[in-house]
Amino acid sequence: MKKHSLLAPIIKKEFIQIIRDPISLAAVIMIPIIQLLLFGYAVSFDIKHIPMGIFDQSQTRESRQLIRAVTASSYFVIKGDAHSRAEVTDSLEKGNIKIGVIIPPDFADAVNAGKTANVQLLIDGTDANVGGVALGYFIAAAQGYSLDITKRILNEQGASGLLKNFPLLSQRLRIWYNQALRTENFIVPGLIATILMILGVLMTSQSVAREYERGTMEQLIVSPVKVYELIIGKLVPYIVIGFIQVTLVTLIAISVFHVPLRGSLLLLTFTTFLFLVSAMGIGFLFSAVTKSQQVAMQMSFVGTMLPSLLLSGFIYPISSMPLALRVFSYVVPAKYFLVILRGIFLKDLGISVLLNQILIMVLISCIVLTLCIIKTKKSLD
Amino acid sequence: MTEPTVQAVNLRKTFGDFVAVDNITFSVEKGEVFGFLGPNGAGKTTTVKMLCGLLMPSSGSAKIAGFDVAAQPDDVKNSIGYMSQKFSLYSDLSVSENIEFFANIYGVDNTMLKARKKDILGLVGLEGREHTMTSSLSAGWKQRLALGCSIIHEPRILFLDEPTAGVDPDSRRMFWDLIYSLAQKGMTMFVTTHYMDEAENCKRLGFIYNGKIIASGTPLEIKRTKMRGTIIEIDTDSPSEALRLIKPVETMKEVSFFGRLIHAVTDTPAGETEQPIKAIHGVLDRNGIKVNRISTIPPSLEDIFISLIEQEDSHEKA
Amino acid sequence: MSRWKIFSLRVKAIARKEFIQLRRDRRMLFIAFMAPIIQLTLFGYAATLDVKSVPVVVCDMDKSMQSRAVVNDLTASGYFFIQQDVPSIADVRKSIDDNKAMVGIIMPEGLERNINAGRKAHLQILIDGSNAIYATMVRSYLERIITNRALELSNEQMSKKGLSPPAPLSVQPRVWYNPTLKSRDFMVPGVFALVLMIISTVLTAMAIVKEKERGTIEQLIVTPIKPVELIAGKLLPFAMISVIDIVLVTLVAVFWFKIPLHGSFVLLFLLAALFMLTTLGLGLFISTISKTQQQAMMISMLLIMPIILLSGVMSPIENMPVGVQYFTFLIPLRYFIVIVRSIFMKGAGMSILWPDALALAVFGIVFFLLSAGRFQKRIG
Ligand SMILES: Nc1ncnc2c1ncn2[C@@H]1O[C@H](COP(=O)(O)OP(=O)(O)OP(=O)(O)O)[C@@H](O)[C@H]1O
Ligand SMILES: [Mg+2]
Repeated sequence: MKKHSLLAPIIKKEFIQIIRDPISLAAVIMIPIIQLLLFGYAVSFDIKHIPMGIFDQSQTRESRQLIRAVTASSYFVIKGDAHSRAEVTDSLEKGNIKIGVIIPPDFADAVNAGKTANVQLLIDGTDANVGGVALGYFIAAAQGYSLDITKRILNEQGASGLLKNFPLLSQRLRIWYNQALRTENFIVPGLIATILMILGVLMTSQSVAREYERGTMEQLIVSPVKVYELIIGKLVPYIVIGFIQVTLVTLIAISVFHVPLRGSLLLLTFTTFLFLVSAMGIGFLFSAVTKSQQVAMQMSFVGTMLPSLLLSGFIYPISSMPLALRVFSYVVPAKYFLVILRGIFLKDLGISVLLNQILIMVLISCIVLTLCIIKTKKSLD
Repeated sequence: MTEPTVQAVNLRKTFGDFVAVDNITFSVEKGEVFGFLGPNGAGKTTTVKMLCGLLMPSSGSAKIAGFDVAAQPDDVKNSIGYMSQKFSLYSDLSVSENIEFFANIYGVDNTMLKARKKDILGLVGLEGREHTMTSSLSAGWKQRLALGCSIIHEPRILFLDEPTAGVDPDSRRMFWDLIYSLAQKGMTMFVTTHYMDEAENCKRLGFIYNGKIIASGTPLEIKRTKMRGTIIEIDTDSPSEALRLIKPVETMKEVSFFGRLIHAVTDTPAGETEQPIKAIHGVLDRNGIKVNRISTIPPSLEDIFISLIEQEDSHEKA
Repeated sequence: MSRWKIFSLRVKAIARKEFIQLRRDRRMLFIAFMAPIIQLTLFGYAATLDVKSVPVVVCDMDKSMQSRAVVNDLTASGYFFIQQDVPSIADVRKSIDDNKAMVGIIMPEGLERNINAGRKAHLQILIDGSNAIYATMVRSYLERIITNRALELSNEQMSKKGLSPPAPLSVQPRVWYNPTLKSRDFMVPGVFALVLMIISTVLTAMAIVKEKERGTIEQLIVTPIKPVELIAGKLLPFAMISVIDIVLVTLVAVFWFKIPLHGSFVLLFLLAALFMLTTLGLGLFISTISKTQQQAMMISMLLIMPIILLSGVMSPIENMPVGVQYFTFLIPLRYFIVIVRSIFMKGAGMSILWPDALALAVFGIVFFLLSAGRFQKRIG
């Protein structure tokens, strides 16, 4: 009798089980969509409209000019004029304002005399990002003001030659790949990588651990199914779900959030497949090791959710991390996939530029699958 | 007390369109061993679960120890013990930890706990295994532990859902000895089973099939009232030849092998079987077949239930 | 036996059973205590948007004092480091494509010549905008450094021409609560709240669903145990684990990360306990909608992720659309985040925190009771 593959029945069984549990299936499909919508509509990392309190003791043309320079951008909004220093500190303490500006009484005199004018800034540093950005914006505005003063002085002193070329050094700054610095453009690739990793590992690890817990794994192992057939059969359905997730997220990203997809769709499909294999493989491995749903789940949370969220370069730049974490990030598959996704979505990079990342992902997949086979065979004994 | 301890009236349970239990009415007296019999999927577990408050009846009502299952679930739960068909104790606790746990849940406080635990362990024969992890017990021992945990609080009524499935003959005997001794002390026993020999041991029986009770009463009553006709058992040297010859004999309803023997069922009542016996004897003698023995025998429960199911099925078809 | 005695007997029995099971499952116990610490450590070290050692690729075609001065300014600031020095603009592009550098600086030939001659000189700067948040910050730092250089050059030139340059405006920033503006000081208290929430919610949901999945809940339901006893007994161990986690996580935050705890630990602890009412309630709620552990986990993810995103722990609530901002008032984590951060960083006491504490109490108790009621209906 010709020996035919037992792959199909395993895949079919897996699909049946997936469909029989519509709650989990719905959750798995909904999670990425809800995440995307939240990131797109609700959560904003842009720091704008920082509430600011001003105590202007100078009340002159010069001080008002400074205030105008500061508020010309949409970065700050003035929350009322304070009439004392205490009023400013009070609002700051209560959290009504994040930045307080105190302009000294002799501000105009100092400026006009070409002397240093001291402006005091009080910043709420609790949110270091907001604090840092507020400080940066204010300093930039103050620099602009200084430039204006210099210009005025040059004008007054009749140095029109200098004025023409002022300032001497100028910068032409260009932002690549994401000119308008839109958050959506950066969220979508990151979201795809992290969501696929997290859900991929969770789904597979649960399904395999459940078989161990219920004893059905024993039944499969005593059957003539080959170990590799078992593994492939378990992975295929979840890879299909992974593709459904990617497709949905990509479609929403492109149509609703106008995220560009500049690179090759084929390359995207191929690399997504590679990534899914490694993610699902890790899930399989977790459950083959733990044989318990609860433990596999916690391992997935700690072992994949955080690394792919934190160490992939999604939000937090790897370059600012301590050495140990930078080293550790080399084994996080999401890191490579993220580079690929950003490369394909935003940069239109081809396979030649991304070859390194692709090869590493192939390597990770091979190692993970080999470990799966070894571990499952061991559990036979 | 004359009021029955378990009383179900028009109890019915549907899952979607499927009727699992169909308007059943029955009662169980205090201190009796009631056997609830039926093939797989008949609706035994579903009935027990409704009586224990695990499933809401779709319609109808049931009273346990005088308390209504739907209206007074707390009182019901205080009066019953339940041993489910599917093992449902904590497999990651030891034998003794499981017993202590359920004892506490039933309000046995720590002053009485030790004595009670010892009693239970002795009762179900688990002494010396107190510290075994439940997951490593064999199926039979798990059942013993489950029984032990369900009688910790000395319930008035004990529901046992197939307690002896997958249990060796020795343990089965122990189970039944225990069931009798508990019944003797006044505990009402509600036992579901597949085993006919176990059914014979029950004081009263209910036979459920396709969600309906198709027979109930003492084993004797059921045998007397439900068997239509009489069984004649024939022992010959060439049974297959004999079978062929007996079939056309007048009043024969059903003729079949019973091991080496032949069972022939006639229409005639038990007291009037001389005529058919004579007829069978005659036809065999004429054909030179030696009859070693021929006599009427009392029907076994198995005979009855098989015939009841056949009647029910032909009814259904019609 | 009195009602109360039975109650405590049953609650203790359930709790003890739960502890025994936890003890048997060492891995679970390990996770319950180690996961928060690992999470906190990872977040503490990794979750930083501080502009620090940004890799820069330089293409200096002028190779002059002026061009070197620009590079010097960048490296001296501590925010940037020169990853590569490349000869051509194409190489700059490649470096950024390959993710080797995030910023490219191109100094054209004649930079110095132009400056010395008093002509405008142009620098070209390229930033990889893939990470929009970080790129925004990097841009602002870059601009600040280059503008400073421009001001300095102008002043020099004015002096040379005998004009008196104006003194630059001096901005004297005083940063409160977090003088060095380390994002860690802000993130760690936030993660403190997250860890607590995730651990207590998921452990609770799982512990109950596991009994459903294994069928052991059946044996419990036929006993006269009251749902409230079951809930109390089930939650007690997880509440205790969470309490230990609070202490552990605080210790790591204070002694390892040196995050100063300015406020009262007792207050933090009490309000954390109040917060746990909501997370345990959420765990209960999840256990009522799921039949299997897998479902419980997926539903946890589905609910917890939006809660985290909308709580203000990742991004300021003020930045959200107004409608969404109102919605966040329904999220208890929102209040707790404010509380934790205020106690840690500002040393806030009840006089300042009472509105958040009150909101937390109201939502916590209402939500817990609703979940418990729902749970009771489901198993009763
Ligand atoms: N939750 C349910 N949903 C749908 N159908 C059910 C459910 N529970 C039981 N059934 C169906 O109801 C019928 C009666 O089941 P029940 O478990 O009561 O049978 P039983 O007599 O105990 O059988 P067995 O001897 O095999 O234990 C069966 O056909 C079963 O498939
Ligand atoms: Mg049954």
